[in-house]
Amino acid sequence: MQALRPPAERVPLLPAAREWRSGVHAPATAPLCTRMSIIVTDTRARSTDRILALPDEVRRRPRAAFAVLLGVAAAVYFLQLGASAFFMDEIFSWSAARQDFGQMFTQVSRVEVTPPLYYVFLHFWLDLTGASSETMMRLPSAIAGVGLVAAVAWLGTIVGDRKVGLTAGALTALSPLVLSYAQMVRAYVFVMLAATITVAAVIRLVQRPDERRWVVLAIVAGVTAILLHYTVALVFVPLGIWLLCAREVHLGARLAVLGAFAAPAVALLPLLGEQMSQGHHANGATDYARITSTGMMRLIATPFDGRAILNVMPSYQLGFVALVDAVALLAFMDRFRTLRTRWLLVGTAVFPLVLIIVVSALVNPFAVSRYTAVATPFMLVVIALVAWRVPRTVGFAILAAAFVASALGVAAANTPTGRWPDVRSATAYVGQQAERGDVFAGLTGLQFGGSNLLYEERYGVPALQFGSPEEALTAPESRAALRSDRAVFLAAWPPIEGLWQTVERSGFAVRSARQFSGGTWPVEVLEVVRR
Amino acid sequence: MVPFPGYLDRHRVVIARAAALLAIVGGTVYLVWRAQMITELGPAAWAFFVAEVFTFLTLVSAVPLMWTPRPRRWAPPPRGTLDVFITVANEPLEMVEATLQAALDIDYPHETYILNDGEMAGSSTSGAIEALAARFGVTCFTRTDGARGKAGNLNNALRRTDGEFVAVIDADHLARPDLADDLLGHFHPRVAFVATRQDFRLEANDWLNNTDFFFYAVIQPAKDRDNAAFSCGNGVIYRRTALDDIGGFSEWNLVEDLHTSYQLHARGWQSVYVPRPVTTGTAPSTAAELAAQRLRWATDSLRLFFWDNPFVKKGLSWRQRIHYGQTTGIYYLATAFQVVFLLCPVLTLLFGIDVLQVDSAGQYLTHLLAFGLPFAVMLVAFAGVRGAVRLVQMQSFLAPVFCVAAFRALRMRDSSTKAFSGVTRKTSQQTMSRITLLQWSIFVLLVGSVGFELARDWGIEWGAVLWALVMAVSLCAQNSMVSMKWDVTHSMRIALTAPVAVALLVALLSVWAPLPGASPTQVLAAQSGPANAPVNLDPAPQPHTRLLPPRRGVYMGVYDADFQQGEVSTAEYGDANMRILHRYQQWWGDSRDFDRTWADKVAEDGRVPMITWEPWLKPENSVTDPDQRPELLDRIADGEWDDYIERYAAAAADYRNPMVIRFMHEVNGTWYPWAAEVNGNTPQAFQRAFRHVHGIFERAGASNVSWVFGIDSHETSTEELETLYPGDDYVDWVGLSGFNWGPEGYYALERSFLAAFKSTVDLVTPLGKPVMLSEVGTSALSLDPAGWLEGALSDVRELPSVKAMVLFNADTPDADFRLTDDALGVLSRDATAKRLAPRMNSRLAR
Repeated sequence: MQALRPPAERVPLLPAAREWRSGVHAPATAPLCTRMSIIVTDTRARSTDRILALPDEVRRRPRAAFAVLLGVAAAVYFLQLGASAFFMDEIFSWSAARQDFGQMFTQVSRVEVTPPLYYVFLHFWLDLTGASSETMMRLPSAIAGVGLVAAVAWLGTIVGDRKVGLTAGALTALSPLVLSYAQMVRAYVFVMLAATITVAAVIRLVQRPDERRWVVLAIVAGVTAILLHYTVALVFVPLGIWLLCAREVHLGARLAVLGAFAAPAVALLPLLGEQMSQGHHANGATDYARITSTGMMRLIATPFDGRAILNVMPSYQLGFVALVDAVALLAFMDRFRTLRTRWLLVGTAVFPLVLIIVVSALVNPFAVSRYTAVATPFMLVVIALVAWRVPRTVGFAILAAAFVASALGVAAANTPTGRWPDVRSATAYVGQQAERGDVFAGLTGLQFGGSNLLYEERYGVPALQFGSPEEALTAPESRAALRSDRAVFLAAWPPIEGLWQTVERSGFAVRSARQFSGGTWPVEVLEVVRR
Repeated sequence: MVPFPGYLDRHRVVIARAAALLAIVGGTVYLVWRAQMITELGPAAWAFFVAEVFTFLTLVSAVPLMWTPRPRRWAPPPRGTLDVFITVANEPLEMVEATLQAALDIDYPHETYILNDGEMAGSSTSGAIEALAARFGVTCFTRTDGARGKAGNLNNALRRTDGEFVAVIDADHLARPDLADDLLGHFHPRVAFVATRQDFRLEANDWLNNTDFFFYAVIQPAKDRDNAAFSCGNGVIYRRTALDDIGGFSEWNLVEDLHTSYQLHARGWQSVYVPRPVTTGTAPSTAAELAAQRLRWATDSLRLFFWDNPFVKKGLSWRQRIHYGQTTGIYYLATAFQVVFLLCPVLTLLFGIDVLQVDSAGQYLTHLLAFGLPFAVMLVAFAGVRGAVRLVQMQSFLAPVFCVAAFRALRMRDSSTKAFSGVTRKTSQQTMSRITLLQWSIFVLLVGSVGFELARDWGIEWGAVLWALVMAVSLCAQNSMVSMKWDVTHSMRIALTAPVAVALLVALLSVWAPLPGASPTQVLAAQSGPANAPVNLDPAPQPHTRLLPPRRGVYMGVYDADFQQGEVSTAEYGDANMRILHRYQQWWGDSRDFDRTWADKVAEDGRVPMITWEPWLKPENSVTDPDQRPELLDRIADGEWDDYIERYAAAAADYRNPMVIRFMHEVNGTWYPWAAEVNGNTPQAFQRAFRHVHGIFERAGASNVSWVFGIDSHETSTEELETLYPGDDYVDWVGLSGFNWGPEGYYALERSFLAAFKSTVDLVTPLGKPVMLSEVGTSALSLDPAGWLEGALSDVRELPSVKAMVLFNADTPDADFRLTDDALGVLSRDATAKRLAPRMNSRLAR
């Protein structure tokens, strides 16, 4: 048998070998495999900034970059501002705002489910400018949209840095949803703006508890937001919880802000009760707001929902992926552990979605993006923040998905015929064609009659409202007109299939027929005369 | 004496055994049930079934082998001389240095050697390794020629050393000082090697399952009981004389460990497995590197299975044969079959190829759980929750790898054809490879097919959607390992998993949500509606949906006299899925308007109403009255009854759901007043009347109506057919009526299903429209009604243009066509086949 040999003499290890053996080359907090990897691979830190970096000259000139951003936003929002005819909601806004305050409040409490502040503002705007054109009436929304881009950029800057801010602003400028509301005579873009300023002010308050101006700004913006739309509560719930837990801020300041939010909310409860008692929303928003897979996917991709736009499913799917990825990474990646605003951003981005989906599943259907629109700024800030903070491949993919989704939505929205039904051209056509004694009859319950009042007034052709062509043709006004060889203009949106045949079966003739493209379906106008 | 730690707890073994037995029983029940429903399905379904069977057989064959692990106890004190071989190929110098120092620190007296294969491997650090050895005063064997691979390197050293025992340590593994103390004592005279568990420096979650607790704590100890545990190539001590007995380390295979163990066992040597690690080292930390490693192992093992098969290897015991058969072949092939499980949902969602009986999802889940639940419990008992999840995930991930390995192994009989060899890279591990592109492609296909399916308007296959999403989720963890950087893989994992997981939640919620789902078109269109509009405005009417023929198979349907009374129950037909419910409606009968209530009830059950619309008043106790309303067809075409037709059309348009109208059927007969040859009618008048009515429906917007041009299945010429056929723009289906009248029937004609239909189907098939056998009946007094129906359900396969078959179950003045109890039994049994219950196909028809 071979003789046993003693252990070899010890030789000191070189440092690298020592580190490899002990496995402690990397920081102790890193997982072991990372420490191993750092040793065995070339892992020189590569900044994610490199691939997504802004041009040097832009980085050197933050104000220039910000101005470019606002310029892009303005170009997007002001382009085609007046191209589309008014959507019926906008005409409701106009209809309420042009009245005196008493009538306005009555109408708002009966027709709308929003607080009255926006209509008061619109009332003064109409008084001040005498606006009646689409462009002028939508101008405040477009300006607010640009303001929203600035506010989101500011929010992104204070939760992240300038790159995050500019990216979030760019996403906002190209968001199909923001574009939709920035070109609409409605309160949504204003409430998004006010909510963004409120959240940013509260964050600033937590970051700089000694600066009282943030208390003031938070209260002013928050109360304004509450008076603009009830849906802001979906953002203010997580905001309130976060602020309540922010011990950096003096308790008195926290309670002051929260109390200021609560006061108008409580004051508005009777109005909300009255509005709900009118039957509107008693059984949910509408039939189409039910829980469906595609509906939920579109809801989750709220910032990329261009509302009136059809056939942009990839936009929703990409937006869905970008948003879910960003929120999940923010919530679950360790590197965000030290981010003070982490759960605030997650809450403001997710809570509205979760609540709306749960309510839609369990109570009544509300799963449409107008109820979650208020979360859009925070969703976009989350996307921008995460994209700049995670490894570049993932960050680049998220940003690419978000921008492609936005581009698809914006491109689909900017059609030459506008995004809403072209009732303007249809009514103008009737105004040109109609002679004294003719009758203008609106069918299918939408856009004509009361909701087309503005155009009827503009073109001097008041419309009668009917539920069906038969009803329209047998109405006394129509019969009288037809008997005296006058015409009846039947206008329908959505178009009624077989309308022409129905007219002919009723014993009348169609002298002319026109279709006006725009939005999801064309508006159809038939000029009916006695055979 | 106390056994080593590292074995499974006894109570977990007991639970696992019980669960395994239950899984075998449950699996048998499941497969027998599946076998009964598989007969009518296509190749994809068969592949799926075979994969299921293979998975089950793997379990059945593995359970006895895993039944009793062998608990090794502490060994007697070590003895004998020991040589420690550190095999080096192209590892970094500092890594080798650390490994060398650890080897030198082994407590037991030993001689350490560096086996430098750097020059053979093309490494630039070969000279530095020699300098390193000189610095530490150890012998370095540097090869410049000889057999490639680790075995050649080891054999080179084996010839130049003389220790009784040889410990093999890879260059990236740090030996523990007590390495030899525990192992050398196990060397009884016939023991050839002592293998150990492998230990790696891993991140906490071990997404690539390098720990493989199941293998090291369950499989290897169980193999050890049957003297079939094999060496893992590192941290193993061999007896020199045993190696000499087989001519040294095996150079036949790509890697030496498995085949060397195999040869030793075949020569009658014994082995010992100690489930305690004696070294700690690195493991693949990227999916691509892991895939490359497992491809190497799988190719190696399958090559052994194919070309040196354990079942015919001389010298092995039968239990060793099964162990080696399991290890080298069955495991890899069964895993490779799991590609089928990954791809089947894609086939279903993208191409409509169904592999399961969709309409029995609940039943399927019940049977599957009988197998799956105890199987899952067994895995959890053996490997823990995380280990079980990792095992399942790795099966999905490795399935394509093992497919490739199987093909490679088949081409590598001769060792000279070795296509590749090598060791796992310790540095700069590859981040993407052709193999992982496969997994990525499958992942993209799964997710893409879900997106494609969700864009459908109607009839979403939720089962397949959920299945695809579960498969995608299971691939996320491994697919995300694209870097050696933890933060990259961590973010990738979240980025891949989160959208798929949320989509899964969304799909589950959609399935669960109590409210009926609106179509995406509704949602899209309606989102353009008013934000806060007054109540009761419906800006987005539900789109019209039209029935299309199934992509595969035949819709079943039935006419039941009860339907005339407004009933919709099909309970009488058992499990047969009656997609089309048929009733008749006369223009001048008591109930002549569209029965929306009945149609709604039909639609609620997911079925389609078919109305045979007859412009007559059916006489009492007869089905014949050709003289009603002379020149009926011309009068229809001239609009005499347009008010009624328009009312009916408006109601049908308002219904919006798919419906079928068989208008003026059996026009080639002589018994109805609309027949072309009677009552002053002409074929041209028929065409005119058909088109006129069709036009009214079209103008009313009733695009949800599918039109059936119906003829009787008797001898008809092509010319006659052409003169009757209203035209492609007016016809969606061609309907045929045919019966087996039986000896007592009006025609006293006993004929088979094919005799009744085949010639007429051949006649109408060139029209290019799907064929509906709109009245199929056999007399209750015929010779064998049940047999006739059984033949019909089978023979319809010979008529590929037939896309729907509507049975006639009623008594008539001419014959009693009610289905007998036996026939109903046949129907309930045979019409459940997937071929006769295809998924509904439709499209929006705006």
